[in-house]
Amino acid sequence: MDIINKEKKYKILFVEDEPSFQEIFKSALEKNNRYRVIQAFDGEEGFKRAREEKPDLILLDLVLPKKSGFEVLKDLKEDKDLSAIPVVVLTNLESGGDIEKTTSLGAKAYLIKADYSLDEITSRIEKIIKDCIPE
Amino acid sequence: MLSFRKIFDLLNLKKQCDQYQVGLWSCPQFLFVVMGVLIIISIISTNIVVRRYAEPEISALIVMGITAILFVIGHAVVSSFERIAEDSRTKSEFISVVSHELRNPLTSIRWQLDLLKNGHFNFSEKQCQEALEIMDNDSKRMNEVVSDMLAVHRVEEKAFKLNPEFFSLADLTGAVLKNYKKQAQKNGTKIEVLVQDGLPPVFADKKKIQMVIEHLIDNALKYGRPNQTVRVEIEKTGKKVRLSVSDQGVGISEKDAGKIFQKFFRAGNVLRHQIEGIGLGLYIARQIIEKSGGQIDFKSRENKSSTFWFTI
Repeated sequence: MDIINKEKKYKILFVEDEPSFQEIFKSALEKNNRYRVIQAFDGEEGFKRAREEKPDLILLDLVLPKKSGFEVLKDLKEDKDLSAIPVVVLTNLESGGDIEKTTSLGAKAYLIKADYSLDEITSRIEKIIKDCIPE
Repeated sequence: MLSFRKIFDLLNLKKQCDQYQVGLWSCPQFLFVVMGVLIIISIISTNIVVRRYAEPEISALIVMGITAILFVIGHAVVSSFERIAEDSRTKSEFISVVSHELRNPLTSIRWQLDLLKNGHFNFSEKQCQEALEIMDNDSKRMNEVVSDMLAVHRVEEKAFKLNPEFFSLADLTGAVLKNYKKQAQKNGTKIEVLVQDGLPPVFADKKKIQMVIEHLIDNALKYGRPNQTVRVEIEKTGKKVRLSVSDQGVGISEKDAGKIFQKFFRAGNVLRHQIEGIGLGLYIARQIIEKSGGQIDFKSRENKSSTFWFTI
């Protein structure tokens, strides 16, 4: 059973400073008209947009201007209005403790951008949405 | 099972110390052996002294003296371990930074190709052109990372050679700046060049000095703010010529000032401003300038400006 509500359009906040990634993702996720992608280009903007928009899912890069992804994740999880929003870390950073650190801060998944093709990454994200967002 | 060769290798102190790439007096194995020898000497000599003179003051003095030497060597052992641990930390940090810096353009190329390959969005000719340009830049970025790593390897080699010749620093700078015109225009940066009249030619390795100038201009453009003015000044100072590059950018905090020329260093405030690079440029620049008999330094105000200069 497809539990994604066909009527509802899910809001995804993408916090990423690289403009080319932002554009590619927006086009790829919005093409089926099921998702709306909200863009934020630095850590501070990411947190601000999360408060304003209350998205269904947050995709978070770790190396960000102004405020790192780790800090944004911590702030999101400490904010009682936002702590329930699932956060997926989407980054190319992969040093020793990064995965454990973000998981202990409450991230749902840790995806390395370079490991996936565009189709693979979008279907991974769709699956995560199915798994963690109630209809 | 340990073969004879392995046992011999384990006993070969020079080989053991070479693997850490540190001097003999910073090598833990060597220091342990020295300590062991001293302990044996101290036991024997105390024994002899006590037997011969049976004077407690003299034996106490000898024991104290040897304890002091052991204490100093113990301290050296601990600090050499600390250095090795620090090196290994720097190396793993370096691997993580380099893989991030290579993976980012790599992912960008991969995803742009996915878009083009799948004909996802009926690209217009202009969009195709843009995608190709992005991929072109990405591949250049990757090459820069690799070139920097190789350059570090080269300047650290014992056989690093400079091929000095007489040339005009002003002409060289002019030629270098031509290559940065596009990049400067893109983020609205104005580059001002001030050259003092009657400068003498400099005697140095032209290609290597070109690398240094490129690193300094590159940094000024990367760490500067959009619509800033980058000022390049060339003037005479004593018998040497001084070149300085000033930007209006993120600057360098006092905390980071001492580390800026270190290998793999990327200032704490740089991670916040997300700048590409692996932190080798200034290290390479310093090696080149110092090996050419010049000086390199900077002054900076955090969040305001930085001026990097060298003399040659």
